[in-house]
Amino acid sequence: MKKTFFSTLAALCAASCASLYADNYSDLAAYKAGESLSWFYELRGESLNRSKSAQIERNILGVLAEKKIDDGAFKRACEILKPIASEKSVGVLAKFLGDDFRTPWVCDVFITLDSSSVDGALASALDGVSKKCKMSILSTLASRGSSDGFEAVKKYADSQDAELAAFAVSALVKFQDSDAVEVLSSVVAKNDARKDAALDALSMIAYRAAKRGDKSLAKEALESVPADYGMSIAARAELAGNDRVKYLDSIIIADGKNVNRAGRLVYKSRKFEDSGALVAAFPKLSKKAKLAAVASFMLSGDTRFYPTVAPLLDSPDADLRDEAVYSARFICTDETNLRKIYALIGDKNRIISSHARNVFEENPSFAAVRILKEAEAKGDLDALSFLVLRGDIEAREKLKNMYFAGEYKNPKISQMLESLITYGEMPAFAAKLKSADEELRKDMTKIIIKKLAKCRDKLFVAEAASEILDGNLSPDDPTYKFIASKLKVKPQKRKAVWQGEYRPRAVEDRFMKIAQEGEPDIENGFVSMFDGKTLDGWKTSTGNAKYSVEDGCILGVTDPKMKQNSFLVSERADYKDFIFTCEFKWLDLGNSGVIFRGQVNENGRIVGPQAEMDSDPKRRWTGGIYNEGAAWMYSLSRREHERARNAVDLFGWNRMTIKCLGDRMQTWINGVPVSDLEWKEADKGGFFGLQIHTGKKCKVLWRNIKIRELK
Amino acid sequence: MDRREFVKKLAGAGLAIGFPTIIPASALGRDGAVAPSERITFASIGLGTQGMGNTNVFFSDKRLQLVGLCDVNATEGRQYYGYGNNDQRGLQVARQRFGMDIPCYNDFREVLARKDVDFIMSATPDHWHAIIGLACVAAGKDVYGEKPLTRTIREGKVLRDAVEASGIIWQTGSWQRSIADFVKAAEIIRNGYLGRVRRIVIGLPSNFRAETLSPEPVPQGMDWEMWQGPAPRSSYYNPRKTFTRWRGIMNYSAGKIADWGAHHLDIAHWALGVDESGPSEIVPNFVEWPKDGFSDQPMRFGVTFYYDNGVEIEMSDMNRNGVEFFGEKGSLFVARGMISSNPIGIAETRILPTEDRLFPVRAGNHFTAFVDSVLDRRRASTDINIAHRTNTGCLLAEIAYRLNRPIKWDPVKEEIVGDEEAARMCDRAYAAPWELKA
Repeated sequence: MKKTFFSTLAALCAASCASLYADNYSDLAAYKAGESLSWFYELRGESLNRSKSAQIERNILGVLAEKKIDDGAFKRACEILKPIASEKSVGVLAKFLGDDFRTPWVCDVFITLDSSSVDGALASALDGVSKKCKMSILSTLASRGSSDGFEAVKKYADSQDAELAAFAVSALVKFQDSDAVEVLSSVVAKNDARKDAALDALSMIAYRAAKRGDKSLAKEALESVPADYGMSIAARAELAGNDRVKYLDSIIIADGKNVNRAGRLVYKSRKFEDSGALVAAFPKLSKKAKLAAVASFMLSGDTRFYPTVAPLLDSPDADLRDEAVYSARFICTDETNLRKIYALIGDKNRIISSHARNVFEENPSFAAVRILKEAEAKGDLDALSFLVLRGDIEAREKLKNMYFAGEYKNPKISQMLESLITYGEMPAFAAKLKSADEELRKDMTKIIIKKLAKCRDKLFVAEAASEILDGNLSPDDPTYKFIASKLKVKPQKRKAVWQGEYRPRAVEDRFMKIAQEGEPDIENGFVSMFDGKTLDGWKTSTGNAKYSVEDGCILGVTDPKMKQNSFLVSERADYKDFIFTCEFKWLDLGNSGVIFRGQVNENGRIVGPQAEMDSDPKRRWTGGIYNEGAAWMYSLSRREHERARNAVDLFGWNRMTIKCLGDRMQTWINGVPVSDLEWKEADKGGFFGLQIHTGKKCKVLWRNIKIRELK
Repeated sequence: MDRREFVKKLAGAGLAIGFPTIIPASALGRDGAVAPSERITFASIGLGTQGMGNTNVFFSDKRLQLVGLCDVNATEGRQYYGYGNNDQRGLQVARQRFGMDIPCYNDFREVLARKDVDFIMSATPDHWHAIIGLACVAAGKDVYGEKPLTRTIREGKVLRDAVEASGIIWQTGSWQRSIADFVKAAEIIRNGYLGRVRRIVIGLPSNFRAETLSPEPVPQGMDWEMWQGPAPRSSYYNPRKTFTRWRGIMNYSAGKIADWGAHHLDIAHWALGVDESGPSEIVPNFVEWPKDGFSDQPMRFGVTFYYDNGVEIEMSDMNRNGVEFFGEKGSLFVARGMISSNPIGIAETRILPTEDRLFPVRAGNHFTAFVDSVLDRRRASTDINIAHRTNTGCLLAEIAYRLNRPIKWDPVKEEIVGDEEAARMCDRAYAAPWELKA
C-alpha cells in the first residue's frame, strides 16, 4: 500500500519533495486512531529544520487536499503545521472550516498566522456553518484583531441567536478601540441579557487603556458603566491618577459591596498623609472594611497607623484581634501594645498565639527586645528562644552556658541549642565531648549528627565531620566511631580542590606546582609592542570581534553572534623565550586572555598556551594557563591558590606578566605569583594573541604591552 | 450525554442538586469556633488528585464552610475513567467524604452563579485554568487556583490583567513559597550570604513515558465533552495505569516543565527578586522526543534561561530534583524536605529581624495564608502576576525546546523578539462554545 501511495505522491509533487519521508506521508493518509504515530513524531521533528519546513508543509497540504484522512491524523497534521504554516496553508485548511471537529484545529493554525489572507478566509467561512464553528471562527477573528474581524464580530453582536450574540459581545473586548466601545455601549443601552458581559468588556477596555495612558478611551468606555459596577473600580482608580488611594478609600469608607475589591487594589500604595479620612472613619466601619483597612496600613509599613489599629487588640471578634496582632509584625513599635501582644502568646486561639510569636520573632523594634530581655530575666524560656532567634549575643552565650551546666536534660533547651548553633561554632562545641558526663556526651552527639545529617553531599559531610571531630577526639574513640557510622561517612580532611563546581575542569592537583618566585623586573630592557595610536604590528585573526585603539589602549569588543574565539595577533611569530607584560581591564566582564607561543594548526585554528583572564567572579582563574581550544594546563583550583585567585581586580586595571624560558612558563597578576608550569610540548616559538572569547558580552582594554626577549 | 441527561442521572442516583444548605457545625464534628453563618464559604471545582487534597485542607479550616462540589466525573463503582480511576477522586467519592448533602454540579458555571460562595478552589487540568479563572473574576469570586497558571502565555496575560483589574484575591498553588526551607533559601540569597549568584541549576521530574493507546467509548457518568472544554477535540483514550496522564499531552498541558517549573523556577525567581520580570533569552540545551506513542512530550529536556542581571538558570529533568544556587561564596541546594549548602554553614544562616525578610507565611500553611488574604484583602503570597511570570518562563522553555532553537524574550513588553514561529506558539484557538474573554 505504501508503494502505491508513493507513486501517487510522486505524481503530485516534484520528485525531490516526494522522496523526502514519503512513507510518513502515506502513514498520515492511512492513519487510524490507535495506530503507531511514528510518522507524526518524525515529521514534527524534521519540520523544525528550516531548510525542510517549506517542503514538509507542501507535502502535508498535498495529502490534506487529495486524501480523505482520519480526524486523528488531521489533528496531528495541524499540530505539525502550526509553527511552519505559510500563506499556502490558508486556502487548503480553510476548506475544513465547516467541520465541527476540525474547525478548532484549523483555527489553532490560523490564530497566530501572520498573513492577511487569513482574516478573509475566516470571515467568508462564517456563513453557512454550524453554530459551534461560527463561535470558533469568531473568537479566532477577534483574537487576531484585524478590521475585517471587527466587522464580522460586530455583525454577530446583534444576532438573533442569544447565545451567539452574547459570545460576540464578549469577543469585542479584544478590539481595544472606540469602535468596539461604541458597539458595547449600545448593547448596554439595550439592557438585555448581554448587559453584564458588555459592562465587563467595557471595564476591561477602560482598565487596559488607563494602564497604557490612553485616558480619553478609558473615559469613553466608562461613560456607560455605572460608578459602582465592581469590575470598573480598578479602571476608575487608574484614571484618578494621584488621587488613586483617596478614591479607593472613599469606597472603603462607604462600606458597600465593593469594599473587598477596593481593599485589594490599595495594596502597597498607601501614604499616612493621604489617609486622614480613612483613619477618622475607621472605628465605625464594618468588620469587612476594617480588615481591608488594617491590611493596607500594615503594607504601608508606617508605624503611625498602629494607634488606629491598637483598639482591635481587645475586640471580641477573633479575626479582628488576629489582624491587629499580625499587623504588629510590621508597624507596631510602642511598648504598651507590644506587651499586650506578648501576653497573647498564651492565648487559647492557636492562630492568634502563633501570630503573636511571629511578632516577637520578626518585629525589629527596640521595644520588642526590651520586653523580651525583661521576660527572659524572669526566667521565661520562650523569651530566651526569641532572643536567640533574633541573634542576641548575650542570649546565645547564656543558652550555651545553661546547656553545659546541666540544662541539656531539658528537651526545650536542647532543641534551642540545636537550632541556634552554627557550623562555625561546632568545633568549639565538640571540645566538650571529652566531658565525663555521659548523658551530656549523648545529647551532644545527637546534636552533631542531626546537624550534619542535613547535608546530603557525603563528601562534604565527611569533611565537616573531620573538621569538627579531629583534634577533639581520637579516631579510635567510640563516640567518634559512632558519629561516623551514623552519618555513614569516613571523616576525612578537606580535599585540596575545593571549588567543587569547577572540579571537572581543574587540573589534577599533583601536577600543579605552587608558584612562589617573585615577579621579575619589568622596567629595564623592554621593547614596547604597541605604540598607543595604531594597531601596527598586530593583525586580526579568527572570529569577528572588533579591535580598535581608544585612549592609548587596545579595545576588544565581542560580537555576540561569532562562532569562534577572536585573536589580535602579533605579526612577528617567533617569540620563544621572553618576559612579557601588559595591563588589562574589563569594561564588560567576559572571558578573555593572552595567548603566547601561539601557532595556527592545520584547521586554521589558533592553538597554544594562553594566560587566562577569567571573568567568573567565583572561579577567578586569571593567570592560569589554558591550552587554547583543549584543556586547562594550570588551574587555580588548589587551596594554596587562594592568594593567586584574589590577585585579580575584576573592575580595575591589572598587570599581567608572563615569563617563558625553555619549557617553563610562569605568570604573575599584579605582582602575585600565579602559575608555574613545565610544558615540554609547547617549547616552540610563536606569536602573541589578545583573545576575545565568544559569548554574549565582553569588552576589554589592554595597554603598556611590552616585552624583553631572553637570549 | 448532554447536561440535562446528566442532571437527571445524578438526581436518580440520589444526589441533591441545586440549593445551598447550611450544615450545622456539630454535624460536621467541628467545635463550632465560628458560627456557620459567619464562615467564609467555598466551593471546589475539579476533584481529582490535587482537588481532593486541597478541598480536604480547606474543609478542616474552622473559618470555612464547604458549600459546593463540582466535577465532570460522576462515575459509580470502582472503575477507571478517562484519565484515571475513581476510587480516590471524583464527585461520588467527594460526596461521601465531605457530606452527602453538599450540592453537586457538573458545570462550574452553575457554581459561580451562586451568590453565597465567597471563594473557589479550582484544580482542573491546565487547559481549563484560564476559562475558569476568568469566569471567577466575572462572578467576583476569590480564587485558589492550581498551578501551572495557564496553558499558553496569552491566556496568562489575559488572566493576569483581568484579576488585577477586578480586585479579587488570587492565590496560585505554588505552595513551596510557604515552606520554611524555601523561604530561608530565598532570604539567604536576597541578603547576600551566597555573594552574587551567577548560576542556578534546577532539576525536575521527567515526563510520562509514551505508550500506544486506542480510543475507547466514554464511560457512563463521565462528561468527556466538558472535560475537554476549550481544548481542540480529541478521541477518548483510557490509560489505565495512572490518573495524571493528561499531563503527557500537549493539547492539555505543557508537561513536567510547567508542572514542576511552577514550583522550582518560582523559587529561583523569588530568590533573585525577578518574580515580576523574566528571562531575556531561553536556550534549549538538549531535547529528546519519543519515537511513537500517546504521550507527545519530550523524554528528556534541558533549557538555560539568561536574565538581564547576568544570571543563568539551567533547568532539566536530568538534574537532581530541587534548586541549586551557585554564588561567589558557595552553593546552596534546596528541595522538598532539605536545605544544604557548601560550605555547610550557609544553609544554617539565621536571618535577623533587621534584614531583608520575606513575609509570605503567616503561622500556618499555604492554605491558611490564602484564607487570611481573603479576610483582609492583602495580595496573596503567590499572586497572579508572580504565577504568570513563572509560568511564562516555563512555557517559553517549552517553546524553545519544541523549536529547538534559542528564543529572545522582552520581559517588559512580554513579547518574543524576532522569531515569528516562536511567537505563534504563544496563543491557541479554543473549541466552541469557549472563548478567551479579553
